[in-house]
Amino acid sequence: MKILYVSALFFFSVIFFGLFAIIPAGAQTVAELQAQINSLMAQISQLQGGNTAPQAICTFTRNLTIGSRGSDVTCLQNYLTTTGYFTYAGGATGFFGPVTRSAVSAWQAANGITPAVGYFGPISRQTIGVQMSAGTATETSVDESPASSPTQATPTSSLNTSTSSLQTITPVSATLPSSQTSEGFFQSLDSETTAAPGMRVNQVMLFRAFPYEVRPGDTITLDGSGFSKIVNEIYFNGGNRVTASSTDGITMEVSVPSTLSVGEYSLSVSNVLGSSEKSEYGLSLASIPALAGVLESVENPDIKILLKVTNNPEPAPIIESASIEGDMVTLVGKGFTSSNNLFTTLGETSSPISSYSNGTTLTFRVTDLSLYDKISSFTKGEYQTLLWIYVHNEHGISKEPFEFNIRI
Amino acid sequence: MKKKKLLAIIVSLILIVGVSLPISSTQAASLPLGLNFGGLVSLPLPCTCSGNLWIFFAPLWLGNVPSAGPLVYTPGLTILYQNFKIGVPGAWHLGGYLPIPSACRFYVLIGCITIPAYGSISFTGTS
Repeated sequence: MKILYVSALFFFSVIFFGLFAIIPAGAQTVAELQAQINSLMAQISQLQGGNTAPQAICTFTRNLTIGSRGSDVTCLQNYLTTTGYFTYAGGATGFFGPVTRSAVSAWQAANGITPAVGYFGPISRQTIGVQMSAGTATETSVDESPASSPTQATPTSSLNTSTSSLQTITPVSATLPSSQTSEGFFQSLDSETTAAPGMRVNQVMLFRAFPYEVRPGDTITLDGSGFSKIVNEIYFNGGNRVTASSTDGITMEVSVPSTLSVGEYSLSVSNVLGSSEKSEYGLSLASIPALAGVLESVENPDIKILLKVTNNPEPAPIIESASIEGDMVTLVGKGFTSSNNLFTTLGETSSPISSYSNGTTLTFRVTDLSLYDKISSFTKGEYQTLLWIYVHNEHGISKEPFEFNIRI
Repeated sequence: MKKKKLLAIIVSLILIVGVSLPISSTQAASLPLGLNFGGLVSLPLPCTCSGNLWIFFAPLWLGNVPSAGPLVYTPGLTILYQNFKIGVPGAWHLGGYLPIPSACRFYVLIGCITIPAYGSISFTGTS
């Protein structure tokens, strides 16, 4: 009797705590079950129809990519199952993962949709709609690249309507909670695009191109946020499109078109998130009442990410070491010229600084930096801090800041 | 005596079962963030590319020894508590930060450079 009593209590305690553990996962389980039911219903329907042509006609009102969930994904998977492209043992799941992307990619390749990278965009939606209506595959050849640049001189897509709808995509990464948890700072590695820490997750941003001076055909590194791991379009002065993919979402190697003539070019990047030219750079601080009147100027600059194509490129300056004596700082490095500006964490230099010793040495007074007086009025020479320094001249800006300790 | 034994067994079982069950993902994600910091704002600088705020603190406590240096406040990501005087010179801040040094991007002539910082503020209250 006692054993029974103890067993019963144990059983109820397991049920009691088990419920709390199961509740958070419940929604996902139900969704998965519903997706499987839909899949089985589709198969039953197909078997009852007695032919192998796809029966269900889905309505795709959005673009689908890695991370998408919903009944439209289930419907797409069912269609790709019946056409032999989606072979996942568990059937349709309602989740667009790597397996679905591979299936879409194979289907796109078979139907002449380029690039066949598994992004289910407007052209894929239109093509599959036609196939579902007709019940047969059609042979078409179209170009389905992610969002075209609004300033693109020669559109390559045969369906010009694709641009606007692509720019309204909300990828799965954009739905992550943005506050209260660490999820606001980090994203899922599964998403097609990855934002740099602290950047908006639903837009592509271009920060800089390095090196600044290049020959046609050279490789440059783009630094930004929200680059696609599948395909990005890079434009030079709104044209001369090249494509590239990023492995980490924040850097990208790009070949400069060999057809570019000498001159300075403004760069932009387009992908499933839209165009970097349309992205909101700059400040969203005006809404903070406490900062009203604190920030002297909050106007957004006219941001242009520039690249200089030349037949005689010179390397950007590099700082290799630094020393300080009194308030005089000496930088030793390469690529300094007769006119250099400094950008530091204590502000800029008020006037250009000339180098000497064959472009390898620069000297400046730390007290001449534009923010020195404001900051030192608080520190009063009592604290150690790190000073980060960039050098800029006509050949570009040093790639990385040089850091060293000072007392301020 | 037997009743006490029985009660002890039941309580033990409930505790064992309760502790051995995993906490939900929601609970795990709500754990406090980052390393502790405290400091006095001397200067805020808007990050003209990335839309956040680079804040220089002096003094700044990241550990036991006071120093001076910058942290980054990002609207929408940093959790604010009273008195909401984020980045205001002369306001004391106390909170947590994540050691992400490259959150502030500033436009200079040909592109956006990183203005380094010790980290990004994950949550803070102010004086």
